[in-house]
Amino acid sequence: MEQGLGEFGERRAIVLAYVNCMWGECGMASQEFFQPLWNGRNLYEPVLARIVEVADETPDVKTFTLELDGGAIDYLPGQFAEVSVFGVGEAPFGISSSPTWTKRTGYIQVTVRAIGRVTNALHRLKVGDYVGVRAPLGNGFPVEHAEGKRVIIVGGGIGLPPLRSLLNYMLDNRERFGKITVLYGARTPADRVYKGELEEWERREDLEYLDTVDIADEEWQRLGKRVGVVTTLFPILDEQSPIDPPNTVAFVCGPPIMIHFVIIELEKRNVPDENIISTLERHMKCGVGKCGHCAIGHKYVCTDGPVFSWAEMKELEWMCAEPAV
Amino acid sequence: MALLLRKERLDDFLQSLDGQLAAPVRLEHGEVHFAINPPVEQILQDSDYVNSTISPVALLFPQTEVLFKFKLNGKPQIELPKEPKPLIIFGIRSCDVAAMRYLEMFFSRKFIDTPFVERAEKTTLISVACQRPGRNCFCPCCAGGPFLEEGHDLQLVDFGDAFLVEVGSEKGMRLIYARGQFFEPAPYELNEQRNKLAEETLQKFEIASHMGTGVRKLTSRAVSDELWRMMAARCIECGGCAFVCPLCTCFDVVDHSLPCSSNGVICGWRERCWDCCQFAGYSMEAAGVNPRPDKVSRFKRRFYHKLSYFYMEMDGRVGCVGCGRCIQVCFGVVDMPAVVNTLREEKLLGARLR
Amino acid sequence: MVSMRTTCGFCGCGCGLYTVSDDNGVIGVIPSDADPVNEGRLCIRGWHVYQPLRNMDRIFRPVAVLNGSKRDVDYTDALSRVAEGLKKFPPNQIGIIGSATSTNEDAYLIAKFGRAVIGTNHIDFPGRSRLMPTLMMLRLLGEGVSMPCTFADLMDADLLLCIGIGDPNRYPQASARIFKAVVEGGHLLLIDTWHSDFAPYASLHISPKPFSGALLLRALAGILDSTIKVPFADEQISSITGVSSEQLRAAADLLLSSKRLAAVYDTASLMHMCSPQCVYELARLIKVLRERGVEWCGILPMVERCNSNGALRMGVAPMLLPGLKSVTDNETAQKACSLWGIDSLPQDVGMGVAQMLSAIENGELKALIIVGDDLLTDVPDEQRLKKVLSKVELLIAISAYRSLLTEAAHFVFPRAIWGEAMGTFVNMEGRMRCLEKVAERLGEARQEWQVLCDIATAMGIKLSYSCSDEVLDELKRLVPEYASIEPDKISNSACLIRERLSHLFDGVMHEEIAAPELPLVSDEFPLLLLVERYYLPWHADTLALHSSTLWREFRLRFTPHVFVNSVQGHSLGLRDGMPALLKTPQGSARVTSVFNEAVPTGIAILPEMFFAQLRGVVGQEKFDELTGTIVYPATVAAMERTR
Repeated sequence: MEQGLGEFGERRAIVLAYVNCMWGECGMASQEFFQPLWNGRNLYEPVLARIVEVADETPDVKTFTLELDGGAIDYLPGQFAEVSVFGVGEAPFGISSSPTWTKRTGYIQVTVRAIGRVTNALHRLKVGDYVGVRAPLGNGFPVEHAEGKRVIIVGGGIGLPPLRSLLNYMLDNRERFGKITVLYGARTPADRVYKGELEEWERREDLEYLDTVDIADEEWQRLGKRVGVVTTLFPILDEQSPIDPPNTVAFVCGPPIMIHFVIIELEKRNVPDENIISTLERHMKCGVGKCGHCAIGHKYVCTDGPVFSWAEMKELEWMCAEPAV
Repeated sequence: MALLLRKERLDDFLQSLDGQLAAPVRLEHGEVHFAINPPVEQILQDSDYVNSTISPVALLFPQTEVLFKFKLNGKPQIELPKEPKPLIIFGIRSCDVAAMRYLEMFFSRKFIDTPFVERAEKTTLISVACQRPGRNCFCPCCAGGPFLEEGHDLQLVDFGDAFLVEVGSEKGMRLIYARGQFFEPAPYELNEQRNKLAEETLQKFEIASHMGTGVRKLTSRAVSDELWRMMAARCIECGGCAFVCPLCTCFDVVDHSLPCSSNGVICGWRERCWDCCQFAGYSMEAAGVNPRPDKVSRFKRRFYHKLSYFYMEMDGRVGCVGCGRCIQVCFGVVDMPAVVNTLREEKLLGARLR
Repeated sequence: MVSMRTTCGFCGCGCGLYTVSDDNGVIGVIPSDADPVNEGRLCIRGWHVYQPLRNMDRIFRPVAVLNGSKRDVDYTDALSRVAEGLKKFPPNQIGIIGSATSTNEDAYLIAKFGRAVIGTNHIDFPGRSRLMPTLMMLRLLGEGVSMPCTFADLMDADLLLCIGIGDPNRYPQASARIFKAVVEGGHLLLIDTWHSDFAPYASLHISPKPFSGALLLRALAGILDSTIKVPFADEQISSITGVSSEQLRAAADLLLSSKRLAAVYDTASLMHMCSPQCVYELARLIKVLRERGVEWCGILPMVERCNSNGALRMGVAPMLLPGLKSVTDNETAQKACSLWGIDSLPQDVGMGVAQMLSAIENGELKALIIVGDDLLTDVPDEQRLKKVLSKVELLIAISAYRSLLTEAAHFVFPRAIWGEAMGTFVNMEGRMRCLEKVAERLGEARQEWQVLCDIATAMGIKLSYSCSDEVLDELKRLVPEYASIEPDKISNSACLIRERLSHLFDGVMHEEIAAPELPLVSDEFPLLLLVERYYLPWHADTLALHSSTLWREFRLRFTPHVFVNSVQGHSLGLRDGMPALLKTPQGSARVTSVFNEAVPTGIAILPEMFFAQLRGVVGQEKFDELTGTIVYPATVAAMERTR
C-alpha cells in the first residue's frame, strides 16, 4: 500500500536499507511500508491550511477542522500531523479524522488540548485563520493486521482522537473486521471528547460500547452509568463477550498510567504482546526522524512510531535500558 | 589511480575551483577555523595544524539555520532560503570526512532533510591525510582515519614538495578531469611509500579508545548503575560534547517574529539550532513530564546512542569518529575515550568512594 | 561566514569565544581553545550566549509617560525631558542603581555621572554587598597571597580547599580545574553542606550544619594554632556543626600535609560564605596555615555576574571611587576633580541598594536611575519592589527588556545587550576581558555610557567620548594601577587587575563568634527549610530568559520546587517530581517535591528563585545590617504528598 502526498509533487517511493520499520520485524503484516518522500518540497515547509471549523470538546480541548492548500491528503489512522502556529511554533497532533472521512470531505481534523505554548496559541485561533501543516507523519495503526479479527479499542481521556480515526475507518470498512468493542474512560463526564459521536457509537448495533468515568456528576448518576477506572470494564467484558486471545487485537491510547494498567488486564487475558497496540508519547519537534527529541533507544517515535506493539515496547525498553512507557 | 600535485601549483589549483572555498586558517590567538574564501597564502598546510575547533560539517549543518521566513498579513506567505552555492572544503581531516558521510546517510534516510542534503550535494571534500595526530586524536579506534580508504572526494597525502592525490568518488574525478593541467602521474613507488606513511602515522597516536569493548559492555548492560552515577556526577550538562561532535545531529526548532510595520504585518522566521540530549528541557514534554528526569539517565542516553550495538547496526558505524574534540570541551573528563575506558576497566579515574 | 572574538557575558568566568555570523545575523559561537580562561570549553550558557541577539522581544525605542499614558517618544525629546526632570531634585535625593552586567566603561560612566553630573554618592549595584566581605579579606591578608588567583593557579595546588561551592555547574571553569586536578591525582577538601557532585571526588568531605561554617573554620584554625580562642568545647562544636572532632582533625592533617594549597569559595552561596564572619574566619585560617609553612597558590572568590568585579573597581559603590579608593580619600578625589573638570566631589558615604529602597519608602530619595535588570533578581520580593518603585517621583530605566522595572519607569531608554555593546569586563580572576560588538543594534538601543553622556549633555554639562576606548583611557589616567592593563592580550598576566588596598576598612578580626540560631525540628515539623541558590545562576541575567534553549531549561524551574534527598523523601511518602504540601508553623503551600541527593537528611531546600512565591509560608527576609546582603529566614517544615 502506498500512501503519500500526491500534491507535493511527483510521488517517489523509496526503499532504503536503513528502513527498520516495525512491520517487517515482528511479522505483523507482509505489507510493504513506504514513507512518502517530500520530493520537490522543502522537508520543513508547512502546507498552509485554513481553519474551517473549531469545535469545543471540553473546556480545554478543541477540535479543528482544516482545509489544506492543494487538496486532501491520504493517510492511515494513527498517523499524525505537525501543525504550526506561525511565530509561535510547531507541535505534533494525532489526526483525529478518519481517512475515509477526509476522502469524502477533503478536510482533516486535529483535536488539541491546551497545555503548552503552541497549543494555547492554537486555541486562540478562529475560523478563517491559517495554520501550517506537515502531514501525514508516523507509521499509523496496522489496520491490516486487525482484519478479520476481534478488535478492542481502549481509550482514556484525551487519548481518544487517534482511536476515533481508527474506529471511524473500521466502521466505514465494517465487513473487513470482526466484532468491535470500544472501552472509554475519562476523569469526569465533562472531560469526555466527541460527546455526540459517543452517543452514536452507543446506539450502533455493529459495535459494542462501554464507558466509565472516575468522578461522576449528577446527570451521570441519574442515568446510572458506570463509575471507576477504565480497567473496571474488563470484568464486564468477560461476561458479555469474552476475549478470544489469539484472534483479538487491542488498540490502547491514553495517559501512560492507564496504558500500563490496561496492558496488565490484557496480559491477564492472554492477548499476545504482538496484538496489543499502543502509542508512545515523547517531546517531538521535527516529526521526520531528524531532530532526535523523541528517540527511545534507537527508535524514533516520529518515524518508527508513534504506534508500537507491546512486544516492541518491551524489547525497546530492554535495548535502551530505560522505561518506554 | 594516483596523481601528483606539486605544492607550487596548489594555489593555482585552489583558485581554479568553482564556488566557495572553505579552508583552515589560523587566527590571531592560535585557534584554527575554517574560513570562507580565505587568502590563499593563509591556508594551512598539513604540518601546520591538527584540526579545527569546530568540525567543518558545521558549514553544512550550522549551529543556527533559518528554515524559512514568513510574513503574516491575511494568508501567510512563506519564503524559503536561497539555493546553496557550490562549496569546496579543502583541508578537511579524515575524521570529519567520515562524519560527513555518516551525516549524509542520516539526513537522507526515510525523509530527505532538504537544507542539509541540498548543501551536501553541492559540496566537494578535499581532505588532507593526517601525519601528525594531535594529543586528543584516536581516529584509528573508530574507523575515522588517519588515512582514508573511502569516503573522500579527493585525498591529499603530503610528501614534502608535492601531494599524492587519491580520488575517492566521481565528484572528485570530475574535479580533476576539468583541471588536468595541474596534475602529473605519480610514480608507482609513491603508493608504497604512502602505505608506509599510513603505517608510521598509526604509531604516533598517544591515546586509544577500545570502542569494541565499550560497545559490548554497554549493549550487554554489564555496567553498574553506580558507575554511571559516578560518571554522570562529573558531567555539568554543558552540551559541549554534542555541539562539537561531528556526528551529533540533534536540533531544536524555534519561531521568532516581530511586527515589521505599523499596520500589523508580522514578519518572522523559523530556525533550527543545535540541541543536546544532556539538557533537561530536551526530552521534557509540554505537559511537564520528563522521561529522562535526572542527569544519570541523560548521560546514559548519550552513550547508548553513541555506543549501543542497535545503533551501530542501523547506522553502519559506531557513533564516534575519534576526532577528540569532546576531550577538549569536557569539563569533567567524561569524554568519549574516558567513558569507554571506564566501561572497560569498570573503574573511574579520580573517584574516591568512601 | 565571519567569526569575531569576544567574551561570554553570562557569569564571572568570562570565557573567550568567537561568534559566527552570516546573512541571518549571529548564528553561533565557537569556543576559543587558546584562551587561558576556558581552554576551549563553554558551559550551556556560553554555547547559547548569541541567542538573545536573535530574540525580537525587546524594547526598541525610548518610552515615556506623557500625560499619564505610555508611548514611544523621540530620543532627543526624551533626553530633554529627563534632563529637565533631574534638575528639579537636589543631588542627595537622586540615586543610581547600576548593573554588574554593564561593561567597565559603562560602570565608570555611572560612577562619574553620579558624582560629577548629579553630585551624589548614592551609587550602587545589586549584589555589590556580596563582594564586600571578600574585599575585607583582601585587605586583611595583605601582600603574599594572590587573590583572586587565576584558574590556572588552581592546577598548581596539590590540595584544593573548596568552601560552599555548590554544584559543579555553578562556576563551570573552576569546576573543570577541580575535576582535572582530581583526575591528575590532586586532593580535594570539600567543606559544603550540600552533598554535591564534587563529594565523591573529595579526599575529605565535611558537611557542616547550615550557617555553622564560620564556627567550623574557627575550630579548624584552633586545632592548627592553640593561641586562637575557640569559645566552645570540642563536643559542643561537634553538636553545633555536626562535624566530629575526628573529621576536623583529619581536615587539619590534610591541610598541613599540603605543600601547595589553593582555596575556592562562592561569594553568592547563602549558607556559607555570604556572612562577613565566615570570610574573616577563612582569612584567619589562611593566616594560620601560612604561619605553619603551607605555601599558597592563591584564593579564588567566585562571583556570579560577569562584571561584579569591574563595577566595584569602577566605583559603582556608595563608598568607593574608581580603583577601590575610598570616597574620603582626598588624593584620589582631587585627581578626579581635575580630570573630570569639577570643583568638588561629594564626601559622605552614600546609600547602598538596600538603604536606597528604604529611603524611597521614607520619601528621602525621590529620583532613581536604574541600569539593567539586576534589581529584579536580587530583590526577590516583587510586591515590595513594585510598591517601592511606584513611590519614586522620577524613575529612569535603561533596559533592554520589558519588566516590572520598565513598567514602573517614567522614562525607558533601550539598552544595548551583549553582542551589541562594546567594552571590557573584569572576570572573577581579575582578568580584563574584551567584549566586542558582533551584531547591529536593534532599534535605538545604546550603551549605558552613551545614554548617560547624552543626558548630561542635555543637562548642560559637556560629557562626551568618541568611543569606549576613550573612556578606558580616562580611567587609566585616574587609576595609575590600571595603566598597564591591556585587555587585548589573552595569554599573559598583563591583563590581570591587582590593586593595593591601603585606605579601606579597619582590618580588625573580630574575636566573638556565636553558634547559629536555628529553629528546632520536631516530630510535627521534621525538616529544616532553607533558602539556597541552586543550579546555574540563570537568574543572574535576564538575558538567559531571552535565549530559546536557556529559557526551555529555565522553564523547568518555574514552579516552586522543594528539594529533599530520596531517602528522606521516601520516608515522608513523597514522590519525585510530584505535587506535595509544604507545611510550616506559618502556614502551608503547594509545591513540587524534587529528590536531590545533594541535600543532607533533615534539610529541605527552597531555591532562592521561588522564595518570593512562598514568603508567606517561609517568613520574611532581612537585609544584613553590616553588608546589606539579604538574609533569608530558616524555618522548620513538614512535607506530605498530595494528589
